[in-house]
Amino acid sequence: MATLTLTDNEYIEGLRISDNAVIRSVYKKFYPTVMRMVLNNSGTEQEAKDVFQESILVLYHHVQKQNFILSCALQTYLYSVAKRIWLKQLHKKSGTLKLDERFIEGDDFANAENEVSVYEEREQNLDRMHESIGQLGEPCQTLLTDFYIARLGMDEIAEKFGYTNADNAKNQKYKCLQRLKKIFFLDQEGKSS
Amino acid sequence: MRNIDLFDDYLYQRINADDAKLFEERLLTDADFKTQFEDHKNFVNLLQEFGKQEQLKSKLDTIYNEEFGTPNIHQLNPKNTFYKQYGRMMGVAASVALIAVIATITLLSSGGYLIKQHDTSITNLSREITHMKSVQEGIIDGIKTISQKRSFEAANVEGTGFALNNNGYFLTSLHMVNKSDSVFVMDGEKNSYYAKVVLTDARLDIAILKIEKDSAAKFANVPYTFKNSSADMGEKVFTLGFPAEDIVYGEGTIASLKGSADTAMYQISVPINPGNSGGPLFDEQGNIIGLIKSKNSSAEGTGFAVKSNYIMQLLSKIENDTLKAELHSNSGKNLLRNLNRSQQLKRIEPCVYNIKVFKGN
Repeated sequence: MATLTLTDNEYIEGLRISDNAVIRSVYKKFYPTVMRMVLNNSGTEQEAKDVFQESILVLYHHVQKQNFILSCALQTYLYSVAKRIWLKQLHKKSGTLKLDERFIEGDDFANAENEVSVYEEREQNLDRMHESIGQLGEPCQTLLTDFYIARLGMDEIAEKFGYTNADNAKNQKYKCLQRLKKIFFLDQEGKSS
Repeated sequence: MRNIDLFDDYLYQRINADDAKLFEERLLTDADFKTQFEDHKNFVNLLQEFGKQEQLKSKLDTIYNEEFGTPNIHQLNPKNTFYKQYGRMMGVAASVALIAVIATITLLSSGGYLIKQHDTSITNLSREITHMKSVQEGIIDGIKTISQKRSFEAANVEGTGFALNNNGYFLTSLHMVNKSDSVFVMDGEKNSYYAKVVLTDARLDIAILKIEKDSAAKFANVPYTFKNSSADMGEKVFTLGFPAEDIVYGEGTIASLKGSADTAMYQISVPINPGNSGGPLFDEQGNIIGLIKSKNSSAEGTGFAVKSNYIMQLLSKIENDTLKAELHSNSGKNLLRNLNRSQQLKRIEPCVYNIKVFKGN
């Protein structure tokens, strides 16, 4: 009887839609090597966890693109990406630029550096969005989340927030979005100057 | 109407086709309008991506804590507070939507017949697969520094399914996909596609799966038709299925028009094994006359198949018209009628799939 393990493509498909079972099995299958690498290179369990999760986010970001092609084994991809991320953090912490050679395992994925930096660029925007939403306050935070992320209809939103009708809810959503954009772009100008 | 409202209506497909067309024409002619739209779209995309990412982070945290967590290192990452506040609400919204979908497509009373699902002498034919112990130990070896390990076992099920039509819909047995976390449909070239369960009927023990639209899968027209009346006792029948990793042919006869005293089932004498569950049962002409369900474990060589006419009847009762139309078979006539068996099998094989079910823990 054959053992069922998901193929790399099945992992990618599952991760693309954020499937719980697939994410769980990605964690179980690929975390241990990453954890070993971090722990053996002066990291803590907490740091290992953060590095691995960041690597998953890098992969998640890239698989959202329809033309994503996995050009090496998933194991190699995640390990190489995790290595880059941990190296950067080590460098920030202690100026170390190299991992202990004895603990480096597996083939290296040449494009890992690029995958990480593409994600980091996007992450800056995502972080800014996070801060902006945090400054927005209620009811705007929940209202925009309901509409743009949870994709509730205007009728449902009107009912939930006690607006008399969908048009009122729509007006409110409009004002909230304008405020969010204002915070977001002001923030951006502040950062770039 | 404000432009932003218009943009959102368009992005969320809340305008009719005519207005959408007008909108697209305006994008082509009005450069300023187009720029505004692109800016808005980019902003909304970022907002959505942010939401999805927060959701993923929260899932990762949960899984980490469940699988590897120790009580002492639960550190609140400030970036995660957004989801902690709103994640539950998003989850609720998602489940409300899911329940609504299920409510609209869940069928239906399908008559007074009974499948004895708990009859112990009947074995459902899915292949239960448990990860090898050595694999677990291999993983556990890597994390021995962490206390409180959870079990690494994950039970999985494999079986068979077949194309209902060329729209990405597949028929299989409900008992295989029941309570699953995710279902994959794998074609003969071992390409796997993520599938959603869109319809289930517990009485007939059937489920209909759908491969997501954006997947790269291409579906051929099915060469067979579904027989709308009962077959006869003694008729020769055959099946294709995945009792093993590769597709296997089996043939036999219809032994009884009642399976285990159930008029919705045939009793068949076809060599079937775990993994055949959900496979198609054909008559000599290549009409689908049933779906393999189970075998009688106390009487070797006795299997049961759900009758195709009962399945067709069930599909005709679907109240959601869009779904009903999508489920309609693409084949008006049976293209297999005048072919010999090996030619028939060549045509059928691309439409029979290995179904892999992941049930998590």
